[in-house]
Amino acid sequence: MRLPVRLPQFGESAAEATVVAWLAQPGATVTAEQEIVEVQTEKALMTVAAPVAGSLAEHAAEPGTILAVGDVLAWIEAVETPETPRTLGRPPRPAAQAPNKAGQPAGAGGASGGVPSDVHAIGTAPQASLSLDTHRRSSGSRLIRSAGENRKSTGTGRLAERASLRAAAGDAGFVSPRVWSVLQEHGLKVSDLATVPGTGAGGRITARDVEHYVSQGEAMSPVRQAVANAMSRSWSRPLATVARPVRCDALLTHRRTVEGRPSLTIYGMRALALALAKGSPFACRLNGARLLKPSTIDLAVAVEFNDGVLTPVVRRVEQLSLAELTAVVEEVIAKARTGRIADAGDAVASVSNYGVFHITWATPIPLPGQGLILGLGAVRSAPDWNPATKSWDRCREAEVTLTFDHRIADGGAAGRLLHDIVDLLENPEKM
Amino acid sequence: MRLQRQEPAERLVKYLEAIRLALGELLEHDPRVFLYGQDIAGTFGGAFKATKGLAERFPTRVLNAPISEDAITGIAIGAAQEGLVPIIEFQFADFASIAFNQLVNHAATMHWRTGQTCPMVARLPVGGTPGGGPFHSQMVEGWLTHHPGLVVVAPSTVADAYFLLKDAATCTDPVVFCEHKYLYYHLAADFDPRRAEHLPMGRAAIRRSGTDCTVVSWSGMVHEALKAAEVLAGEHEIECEVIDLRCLRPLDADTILESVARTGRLVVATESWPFGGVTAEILAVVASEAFQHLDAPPQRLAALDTPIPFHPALFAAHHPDAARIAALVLETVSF
Amino acid sequence: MRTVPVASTVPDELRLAHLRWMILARVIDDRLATLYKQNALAGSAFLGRGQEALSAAGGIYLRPGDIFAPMIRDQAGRLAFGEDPLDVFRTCLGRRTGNTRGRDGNVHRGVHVGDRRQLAFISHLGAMVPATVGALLGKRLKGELRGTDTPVGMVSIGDGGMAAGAAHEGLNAAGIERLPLVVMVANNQLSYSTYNDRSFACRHLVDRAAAYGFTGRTCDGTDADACLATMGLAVAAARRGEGPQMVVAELLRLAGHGEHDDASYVTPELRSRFGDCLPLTERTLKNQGVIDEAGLAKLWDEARQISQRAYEQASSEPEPDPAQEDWCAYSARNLRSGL
Repeated sequence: MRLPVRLPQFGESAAEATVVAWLAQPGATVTAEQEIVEVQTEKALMTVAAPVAGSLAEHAAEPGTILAVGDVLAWIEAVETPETPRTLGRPPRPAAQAPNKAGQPAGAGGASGGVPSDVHAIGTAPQASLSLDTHRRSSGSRLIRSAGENRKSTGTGRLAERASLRAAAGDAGFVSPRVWSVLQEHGLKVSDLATVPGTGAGGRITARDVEHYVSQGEAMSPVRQAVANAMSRSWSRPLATVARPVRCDALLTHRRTVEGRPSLTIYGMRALALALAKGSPFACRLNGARLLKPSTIDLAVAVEFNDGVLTPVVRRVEQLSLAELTAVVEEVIAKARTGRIADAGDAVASVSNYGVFHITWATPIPLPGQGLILGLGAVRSAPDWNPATKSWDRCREAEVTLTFDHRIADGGAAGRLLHDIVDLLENPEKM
Repeated sequence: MRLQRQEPAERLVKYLEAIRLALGELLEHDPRVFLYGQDIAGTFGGAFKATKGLAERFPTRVLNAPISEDAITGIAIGAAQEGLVPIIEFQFADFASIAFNQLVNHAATMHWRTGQTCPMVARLPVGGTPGGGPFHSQMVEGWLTHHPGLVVVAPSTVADAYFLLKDAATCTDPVVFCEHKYLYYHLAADFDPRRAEHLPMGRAAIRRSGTDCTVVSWSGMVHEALKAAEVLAGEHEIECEVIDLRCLRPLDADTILESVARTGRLVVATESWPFGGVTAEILAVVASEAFQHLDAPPQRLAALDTPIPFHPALFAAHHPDAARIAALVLETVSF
Repeated sequence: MRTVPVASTVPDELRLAHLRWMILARVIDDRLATLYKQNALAGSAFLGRGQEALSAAGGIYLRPGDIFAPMIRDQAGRLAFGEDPLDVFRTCLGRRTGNTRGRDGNVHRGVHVGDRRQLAFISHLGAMVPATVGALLGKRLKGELRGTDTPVGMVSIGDGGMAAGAAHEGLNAAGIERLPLVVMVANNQLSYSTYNDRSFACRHLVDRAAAYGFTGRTCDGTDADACLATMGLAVAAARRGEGPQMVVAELLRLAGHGEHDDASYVTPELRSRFGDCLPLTERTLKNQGVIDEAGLAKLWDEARQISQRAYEQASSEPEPDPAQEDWCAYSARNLRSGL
């Protein structure tokens, strides 16, 4: 049996040695442990002994050659013995280690500090079979499993256990701190993630999943963002809506007699202000658990602007005539449209005329800090039962809605307020 | 592996040679520097030949010490008080335990207690090699970083073996310089001190940029981490950010935290033991200061909790390698 | 081993100067003992009562350029080599103005300015031997140990400390390097509560001198003249380059290990064997006409004034403020921001 004589590891850090002189020639009979060659390490002149008895078949390196630890020095044709050569647990090194030739970078990553080229000059040590290169020869999945098998008390196997347990429990709701941070940053809630596909263990939504989710689509403009925030804050209250139709024929005639030809919005604002001024509990702002009753009825009017809605405030509406109100509102809206909002807060209610969009019925949301919003729907022809003639007349009608913060007052008060508003709208000479 | 021999002008510089180069330059240009340790003088030049040739050039300043690690360190402290810069050598880091008292109670506390600085460098060969066994293989930063006042550095590259040693000798605080003995002759690079990058002592280096997982290591283990990163990139399209700490005390927590803020995941790998130590410190810092950036529990990989075994197979199983690092990163990324 | 005969070979001025240091040391130590009992000190008080003759005899021969590594019972030696009594009280009272700024206390103080430097002691006995060796090695490398009248390093140690591994290593290294180290061993019969027979097995501690390549001498530690003569010979020999020197003095610790210790383990027999060096010296000098009663009273008076002044000054100075501390153990600026 032909056996190799390999260069031993002489000293803890020795990597190589130079062949100095052969002490046995090819063809010579050697005994086990006979010294057959002299080599020079960094530290000392050492001799290598034959591992078995036999005849020296061949030198593998001539004097002057530098060999790495583990390289073959010579071949011995061994005398058959039951004993196997002693190598003390070191497996033969895999043949032809192609990567990591000195001086050739093995694919540096884009490192900011620069991957030093010396990293790649380091060779695989003559270590046991758990070296990376051995794994490379197996399939990729072997890489994980065998490492897991061999790892005992470093506690890292538990991570996989935890993840798989979670999957078994069907709990994809685990939110990591980083996912939470991303949600906060984008103003999202966990419930917003209901449709986000999770790629983590057990279907967990990872930070990467959320980041991908929020990066899709276009960013909202600042105006849109502001409206979104206001709507979020507004929606957090208990809101309810009451509605009634209002006959608009009288109003439509009346407006032709007023300077400026006030729109339905103006009539709505005036009616709302007068109705509130009669002592409605809605003529106040909710301040925690306290009700703040202002001295004047200030109303906000919703104005579409770019991709959002502005809500400038008009002061003392209950004291302004329809003509005055028309003029003031026009001015306020013009200012708002140029980005100059004089009064942006403190109103007690708002008016939203979505009827201009042909919407007949809607439940607009009261603005943050306000308890009430009056919604005006589109005017359209409707049948009107005439009890005197017992026939259907045609009239012009619109739905008006009152959406209110139910913490301030209840449906009765809302209904009474709406009744007063409608009464004023159907009898415009009272305004 | 065969280290190629090239023409002298382009010859690769080994890690140990970089250390010897730095020592020679320090002796030549700084008259305060002297070397003291066992077997370092004469033509012998040290157990690992780190000082070979230096005693011949500087015969009065490269001195042999008896087997007295306590006295070697105490002598260095006393000489530092006289304005010298002693660079002592422990033959193996494992023997630094004998000098423990002088290091942590005398050198480390000198400045804080008395206002007097103690500029000295203690060079320690750290790390395991097959067959080294329990007392010739230890990493010792775990217990030396615990005490305030010591600087502890651990170069992983040829350039850092040179630059960090030079920085250590100019530092006004006592520096423990951990040289990985396996890297001595197994690591070589095309190194030119005039061209190579020189990061300040105390700053960690990002050896490989990545977005999927931060992998922190030091000393010899950096190379295993980089090997793992290669495999993960090639076979799993996972990009690791590999950080080489270079300096363990003070710890460059900022670089680690910034990286975790980018990647959301952390694996720390060391050849040292798990209990306490630098891996535990890093995990504590990250868990408490980067909690909101973590998308998976931070992990660490350390040697098994036993003395270091002698048999090569046991030794190989005892400490982490590239395969195990890659496996743990994969698990973390799959969380 | 050479024992010096008791007949005085020491000039009277030196004996008087020596007595002055002994008295001042005793006054300061007594003051510290009182402060301790008044609960005015943080930590303990370690006194050199009974050891002043030896300690002052060491310190008095030191000169600028020398190094002294005192131990816990060397008030007399520290003073003789130039320590300011103010700093004694500053450190013991933990004042911010002391050279340890409250960060360390009592006997852990050194002297770091000027050229009469005293190394700051650490508690691990024996550790200061290598440190003193290193300081001397440093001087040699700087070329300061040339000729026959060189600086010396003096380290004080006790019978207990001589058992420490660090002491062994340091003494061995000093002998190998043949440095001008003078080791002043105060065998005060007790290492805390442990008698000599449990501290060393050689017949006499000075037997170790030869083992380390030292020249060894002994003296009666309660006899001021013997201490002066012996320490004088040792220091002179070291300066001449005759290698390291060891003096082992026999005396008795006349205080507890610290003031927290009542020393009840000291037997009457032991007590009876040793006198108190201070009254013994006073009597000898009076008998020989070197000083009279009035002169003695004057020395004590001066000592009390110096001590009182220092104590009052130190007491008036500020204590450290935790909020003002920088809480960083590094000196290097660029390392301070890191953990």
